[in-house]
Amino acid sequence: MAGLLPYRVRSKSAALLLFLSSFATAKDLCPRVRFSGPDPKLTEVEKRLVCGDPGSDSWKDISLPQAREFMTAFLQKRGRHFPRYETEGDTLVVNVGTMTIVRSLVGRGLEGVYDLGKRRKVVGRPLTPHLLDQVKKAVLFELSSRGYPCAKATLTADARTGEVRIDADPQARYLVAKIEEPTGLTIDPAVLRRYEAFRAGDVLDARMLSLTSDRIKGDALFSSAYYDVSCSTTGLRIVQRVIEAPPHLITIGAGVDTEGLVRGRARLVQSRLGRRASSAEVTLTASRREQSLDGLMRLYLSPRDRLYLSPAAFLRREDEVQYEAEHAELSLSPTWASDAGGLRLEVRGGPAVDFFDTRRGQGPTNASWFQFITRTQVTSHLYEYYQRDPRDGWTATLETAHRFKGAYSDVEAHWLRLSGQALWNLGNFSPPAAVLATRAMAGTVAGIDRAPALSSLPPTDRFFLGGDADLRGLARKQLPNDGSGFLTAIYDGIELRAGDVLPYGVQPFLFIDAAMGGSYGFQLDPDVYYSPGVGVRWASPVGTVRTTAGRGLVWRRGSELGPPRPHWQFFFSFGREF
Amino acid sequence: MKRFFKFVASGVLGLLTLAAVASLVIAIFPATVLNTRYLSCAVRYFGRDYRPSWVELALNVTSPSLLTKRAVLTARDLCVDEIHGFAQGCLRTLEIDATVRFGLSPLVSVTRLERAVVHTGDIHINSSATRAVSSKKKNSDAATTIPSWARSMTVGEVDVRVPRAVLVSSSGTTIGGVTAALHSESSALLTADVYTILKSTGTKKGKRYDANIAFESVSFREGRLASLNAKIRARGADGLTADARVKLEPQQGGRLQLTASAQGVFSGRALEAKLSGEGGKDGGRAAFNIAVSDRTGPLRRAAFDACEVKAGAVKKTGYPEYADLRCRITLLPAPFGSSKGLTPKALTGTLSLHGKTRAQVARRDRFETRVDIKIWPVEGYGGFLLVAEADLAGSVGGSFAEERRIKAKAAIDRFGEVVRFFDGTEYALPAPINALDGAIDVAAEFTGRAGDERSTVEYDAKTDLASAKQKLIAAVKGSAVIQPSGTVPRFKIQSDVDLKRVVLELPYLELKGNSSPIPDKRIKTGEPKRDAVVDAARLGAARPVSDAVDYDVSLRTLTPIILSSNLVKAPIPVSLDVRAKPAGLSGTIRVEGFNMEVFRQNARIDHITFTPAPGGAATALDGKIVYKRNEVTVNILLLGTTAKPSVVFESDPPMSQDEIVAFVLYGKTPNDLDSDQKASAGNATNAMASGAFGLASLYLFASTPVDSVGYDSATQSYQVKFKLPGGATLAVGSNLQESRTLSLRKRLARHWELQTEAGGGSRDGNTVTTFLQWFTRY
Repeated sequence: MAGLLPYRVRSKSAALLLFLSSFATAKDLCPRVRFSGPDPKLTEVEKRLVCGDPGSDSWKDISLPQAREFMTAFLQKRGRHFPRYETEGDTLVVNVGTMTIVRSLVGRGLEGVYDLGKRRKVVGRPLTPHLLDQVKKAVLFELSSRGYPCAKATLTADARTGEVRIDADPQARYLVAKIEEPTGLTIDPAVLRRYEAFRAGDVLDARMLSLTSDRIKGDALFSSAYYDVSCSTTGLRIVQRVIEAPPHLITIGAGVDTEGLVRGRARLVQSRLGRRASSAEVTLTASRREQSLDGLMRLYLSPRDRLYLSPAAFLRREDEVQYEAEHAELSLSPTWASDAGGLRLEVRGGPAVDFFDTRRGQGPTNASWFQFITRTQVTSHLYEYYQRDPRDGWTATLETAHRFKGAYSDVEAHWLRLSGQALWNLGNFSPPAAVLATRAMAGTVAGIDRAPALSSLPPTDRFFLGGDADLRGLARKQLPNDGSGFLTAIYDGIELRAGDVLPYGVQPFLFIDAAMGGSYGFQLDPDVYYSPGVGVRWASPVGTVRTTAGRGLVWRRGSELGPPRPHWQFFFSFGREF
Repeated sequence: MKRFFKFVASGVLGLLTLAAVASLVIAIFPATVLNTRYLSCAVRYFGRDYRPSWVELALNVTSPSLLTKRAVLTARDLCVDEIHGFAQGCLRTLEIDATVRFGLSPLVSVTRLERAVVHTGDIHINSSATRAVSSKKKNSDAATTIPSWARSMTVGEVDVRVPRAVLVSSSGTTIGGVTAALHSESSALLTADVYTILKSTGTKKGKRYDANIAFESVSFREGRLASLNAKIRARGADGLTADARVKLEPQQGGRLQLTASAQGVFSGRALEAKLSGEGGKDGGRAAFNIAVSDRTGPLRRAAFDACEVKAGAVKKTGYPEYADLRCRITLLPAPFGSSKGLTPKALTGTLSLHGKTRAQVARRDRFETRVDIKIWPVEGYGGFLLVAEADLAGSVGGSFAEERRIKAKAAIDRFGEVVRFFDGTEYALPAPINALDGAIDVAAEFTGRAGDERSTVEYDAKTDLASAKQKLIAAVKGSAVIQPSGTVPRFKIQSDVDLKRVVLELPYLELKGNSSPIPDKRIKTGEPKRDAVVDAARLGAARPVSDAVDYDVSLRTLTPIILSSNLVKAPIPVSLDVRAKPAGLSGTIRVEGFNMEVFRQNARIDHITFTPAPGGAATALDGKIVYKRNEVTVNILLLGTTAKPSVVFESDPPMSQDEIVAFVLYGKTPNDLDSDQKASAGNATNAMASGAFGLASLYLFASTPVDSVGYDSATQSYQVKFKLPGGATLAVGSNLQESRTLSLRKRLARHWELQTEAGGGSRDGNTVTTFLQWFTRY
């Protein structure tokens, strides 16, 4: 038995595989080849190579040694490196042998550059040529993310010990230097500099090139963008290539948003206004809760600059649990963005004129006012890079809206909201073993008492808690119970999610959300609302599906508002990430 | 002047006279020079590197007559200790009492060995140590014959005792001992007990072999070959049991009758031999049989039956005059395959030898031999025939094969029969070669001289094989130079392989699911050769080049090889001009022009050239495919290496890379593409330029309608969706865990797509919405 199992099988999944395979029955692959153990399920091409191809004069008779050689290669592809062969007359009897499981991953040449101990999903998996290819690619990716785009590596393995070994030569470490711009564009090529997630002199990180390409592709101006990175004896060469798209894009579609609501959308985009590639778009959106018409322009002052004017307007009808209203806004916000030190900073601020008519619930009717709105967001590049598969990085956003009495406003009020998210890939494994995430929000409305606030401030400027976006143990915007909205609220949620542990991308997680609200600015009521719960995330090929079950609980500390009834709240969302 | 010559002549004459007088004095009174004192000085001086020491050393030479001298050499505790550790040991007792006679031919001969006593202590020889005195090259022929100075020697008493001699070499240690005795009584036997223990380096236990020899011969007493009765018995490790007996009896007329038999088993191999014959000074005749059988080897039995040998000699001189040998050969290969297997048929043949001496200058000492061997099977083997001729020449008294010329020819008339014979065995021929039938001829010629620094074998082979769809007509010509080098000879092989006409059918392939039929060379399994390849493939590893075999094989096609595949309608012509050397393969492998459907359009493969680089570097790729569509000509250039092929596009009229890719993938300009097609074209350009696609993927890419292409340049992961006949799609990709951008947009149909968007609205958290949308661009 020791000969059959030359090493201890560590992985439970591999052990399960071996256990199940032991129940497989012997099967004749063809008259000349028979399996005496599990059937490895050869493909049609493999079968014809091993058994002979009756449709080919030259390949209809495969000699037994040749069939054995072919079979060895095909079994190797399935992680079986020690097949045993016997011949019974003209028949080749194949015992496919045990599956070799990778027992260790060792490397040379990576010292101080990359810790192979952080590479998961190698140890415990069947040793196959495909796995070696994957590991090589993954290691080269890690090196190219650390300034070594020209690294070389060879992968070898020992099937007797289950050891996979990588011999790497990282070569020179490169900094971002000259990038050759694309030619033949109808716009100024300097426009592309707006999207760069790196600066000259930064350590060259392939992920940042990819992130930049993603930013470019996200703009309707370009349908394709990439960096061509090539290494030669003369050094590194980076050429940027993009494909311009026709300037007008019309999309009409239906989608499912993060609250599980069906949403229709029609959009017209003009992405090329002049050589500076300014843009304009109009979007018509309709869902049961919200119907809106949004218009937005980005007027760049120069091609290279990241400063642009953003005149915007929207007409919106909102039908939430706590209120129903019509809302319109016209704004002009200069916006400036910058990338440095692994962060992206975007600052926006400008005047806005709003019209609001509350049809149901507490709020102004047929009111209009002037306000000054700002938005400052800092996002780490890693957060942005992994936005669709969150595992690392952080973001923080500070939003303010200021109304001054007498300046086309009946009241003075200052709305402040600070929110953010941070994720940690625990242990820095790749792929992640576990991801710890937290999201937080703190907001208040200052400079106004509660009574005028309820009558003059639109419900969108007050704080409602509950739902998939914050307290997952409560229904959407369930707090406060009286439907008036908090003037101050804080929230924090912590989630511990399994990484790439279970098959098919299923990731279970635990969470706890906690929040407090206050009826006045900068004041919090004593009660603490909290929601422990569990959930499952599945990264499907078309988007993330999440479902959570949370228990809405209250730590009663003497608030005047009555607590919500404790209950289990279920959410099923599509697309939302923590 | 005359006086000067007179003076010189008288001087020389004087010296010669002095030398003659001195020689005469030494001849009459040898003890004046050959005595203990001079011997001691000579041993100390000439053997100083061996640091000799002794308790007693004496030489006593007496002169029974003018030309006969008797020397008695005795020594006690004569020890040596070579300065480099090469040899250490002591002769405890040495007594040699011999009578020497001076004459014309030979100049010196030992006529009587009265007494030889050699008793040693432990002897230790380390052959890996540097020797103080370089060893002279031994004449192996001389070592195998009785030296002329000892041919008429009679022997009195011999007593040799070497209890333990240790020989250390790089390959291991050999321990041996011998005890031999011949007493002075005339009827006494020469008996010898020999043992050897062989120990390989790194092993503790050795293999012991013992032999016992009993030799009864009046030759020792009479100084001529008169009669002999010898028995040899050996036992030891590896199942060694061997017994031999040789009997030589005098007959009338001074003739001798010889009978000999031997049988033994060693390591599963058995030998059986019998010989009987008679002869005298004018020659003789003998009949013998030899059979060797092996339970495990590829040749189960080899026998020389009913052999007759006849030899003649010049009566006066005893020199060999001629020799004739005739033998019947039977070779039985091992059964092939396993339990059922095939019982191979025996190969039979004849061996004939004719040798004669030829006068060389004044003496008949040149012996020339012609050997003919012919082997053919009883039946089957596809008309297999092996004919070998050997012309050997040597000198009498030396080797009979100092000059060698061996010619061999083998032919198979019906290759298909051979294929069928080996079918189901370990030696079965692989497809598609096993579908061929026809003839193969092989010829080889070896010439060389004993002692040559190199020998050469020249060979050539021809194949004329064909099947319904295949052909293999090739010629091989070359030479192998064999150079003795230590224990392992070195080979230098030079070959030219000309493929005159080759047509081969490739195995069935599919667009999907093709696996390499060759085991991956990166995974060790404990098989030494394969493991060595894996180790050598590592980055920075020194690639060992065997110096035992040096080869230079050039392979050329006189007309391109034609390959046919189910995936390509037209035959694929391939030209080869490559050289294989230990450092690696060099030259070119060139796919010649042919038509093929590329990107749903007939295109011309202008050429694809693979240039292997010696030293393990990747094979360079250079290809050109000419694609024409709607007045536009696109040159698709394959560059880079086979491991990382990159594709560059050129067009007439000139277009950008993206435009060309859009054109060949979808038959449209980028402006006519929908956004997904544009993205696919861009991704394809990126992936192809950066070598992300392997060659197989590139073929699939070019030969199958492409639905969409996703590519993540950071991880070099791609995903290509192909449209297969019947409306099915095939997704091929090299996804990596790190890749996270491939599934943002899913094209469903023309103008329809599934798009996942990350929203930036903070009031509702990190919203992401997935839309099924119709889209258009203008």
